[in-house]
Amino acid sequence: MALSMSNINLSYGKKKVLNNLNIDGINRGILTALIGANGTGKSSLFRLIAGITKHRSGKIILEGQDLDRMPSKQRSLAVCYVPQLTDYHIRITVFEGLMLALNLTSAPRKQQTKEQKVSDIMQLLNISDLANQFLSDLSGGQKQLVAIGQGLIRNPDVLLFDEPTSALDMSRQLQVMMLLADYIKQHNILCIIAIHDLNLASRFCPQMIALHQGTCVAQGATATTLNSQLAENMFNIRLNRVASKSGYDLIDVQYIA
Amino acid sequence: MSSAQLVITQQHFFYRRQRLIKSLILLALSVLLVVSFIWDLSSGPSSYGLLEVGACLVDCPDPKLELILWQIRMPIALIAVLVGAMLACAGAQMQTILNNPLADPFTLGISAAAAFGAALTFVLDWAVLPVAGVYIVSVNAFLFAMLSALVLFAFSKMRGVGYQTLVLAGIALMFSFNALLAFLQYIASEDALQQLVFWTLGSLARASFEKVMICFVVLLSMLTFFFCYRDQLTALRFGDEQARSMGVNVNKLRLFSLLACALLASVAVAFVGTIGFVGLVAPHIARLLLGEDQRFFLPGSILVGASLLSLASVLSKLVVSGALLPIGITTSLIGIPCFFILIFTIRQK
Repeated sequence: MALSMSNINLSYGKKKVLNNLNIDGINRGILTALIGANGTGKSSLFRLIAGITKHRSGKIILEGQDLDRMPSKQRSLAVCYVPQLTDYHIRITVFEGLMLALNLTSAPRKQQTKEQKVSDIMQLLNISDLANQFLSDLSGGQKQLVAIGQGLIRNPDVLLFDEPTSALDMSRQLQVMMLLADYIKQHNILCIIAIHDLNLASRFCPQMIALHQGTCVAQGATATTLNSQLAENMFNIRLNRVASKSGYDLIDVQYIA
Repeated sequence: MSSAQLVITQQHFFYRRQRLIKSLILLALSVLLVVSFIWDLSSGPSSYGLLEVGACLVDCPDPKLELILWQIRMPIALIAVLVGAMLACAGAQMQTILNNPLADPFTLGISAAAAFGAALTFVLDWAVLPVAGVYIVSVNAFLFAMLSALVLFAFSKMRGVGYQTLVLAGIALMFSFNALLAFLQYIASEDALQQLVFWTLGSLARASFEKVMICFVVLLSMLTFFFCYRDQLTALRFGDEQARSMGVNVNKLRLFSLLACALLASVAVAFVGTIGFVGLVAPHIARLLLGEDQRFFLPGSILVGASLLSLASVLSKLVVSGALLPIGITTSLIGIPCFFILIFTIRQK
């Protein structure tokens, strides 16, 4: 098991955000979905793993190593947190933005190799046509794709995506989830995705962690973890799995009044 | 060549071409700075041609021109360039770290604090370091400017204080020091008031080679600091969260950059008085021309700032024949049209 957390507590002032959180182990090479209602501490958990926020107690272990004892520079290279959509106003091009993320990683490489790496990531995300556009001129979804690219180009051990598909159209959502699943399998990366779309989570994330009021209430294979009982307790919704022609279960949900 | 490979080749070509264009713009700005510097040297009560002055810098056949050039005009022209560069550098980085296009040493109260420090000497004959001798006003201004920056620094270390709160705190400081300054003006004698008004309008006439050296050393050391953190500073403009995700220690970088900006602004203001607009306008012009990659944005801001103040120095000698207009007035005269052109250009874009 690559990443595990035990007895994590986090408070902002008097407000308790994470409450004795325990996560047994998260594997590399497959997508892990992190689900939970708004304000349950998903983003806080990501910031904590990335070392942006300091927790009050508990341990975060990555491959047997205590992350809090890792030098901050090394930790920032090992763990990359891609936050929720931010509105960029910076006047640099997409190509320069990706090059910047690459420059902020470890040893400097040859300029030509770096340019090739930037082009590869753009091609992977299907945003090659945006290369020369200013970031400030992009749409919300396009900015989100660039942010994903900035995470991937850093080539970390752990990737934490906070709602990476929230601003994307349906086609792009599928594309991004597919390429992320392939990419992290190919590079054997540990990847957790905070996501609200249960259909995307069910289809692309073999592992799932459910967070409710700052505590991990369920963890395991998505096929068994994501059930009607969990959905009712966490989101107050009725959940049904419906078999589809494409071979994937569709998650049909209804609000319980 | 496949179509994918063609797209990649085009991307690399465009990226390299953009870098080349930006380098050429920097070169053009350097030429503008050299021309304005020589123009500044050549203008004055005894007028000389640009070529004549340029030639004299290398080998001077005329002893009178050599004397005027090296003893009188050179320190003034050099300090105009250095102070312009320092204010522009401080403004550019304040706008970057505070993520606010209106941030500069003037709007954040550093200049107002310096003016108040100077006023204490003029009006009350009071100095923090009475042993400072001829530098008594400059030292007082510098110490108060640093004090104001340290208050901002201490404020930024408080829990939960974001950069927007920091900008508001800076504006509050500016109003506080302006109010204190107004009080000193109210109680000042006629002579003291005249001195104070002249100081606050900004003047390059007090320049000396000693001051030039101090400015040069401060500018060079702060530029080295900013250049070492160029990528981290660029990343700050993505917002704190995204910068942190790219491994930037946002709080530490912001604190040290704020101190560096304060040092630049304090030294500049202490030597030449309060000069507005350069710190605000120069970074905006550089941003329009070169974008926000600090590799180009920082040298661009410095070159624009230095050229602006150098041109303002020329203008201050030309507006009223035989008299030297306070540089603060001409800076605003140049700065305001630049600012309007800038706003108009942005609106069109």
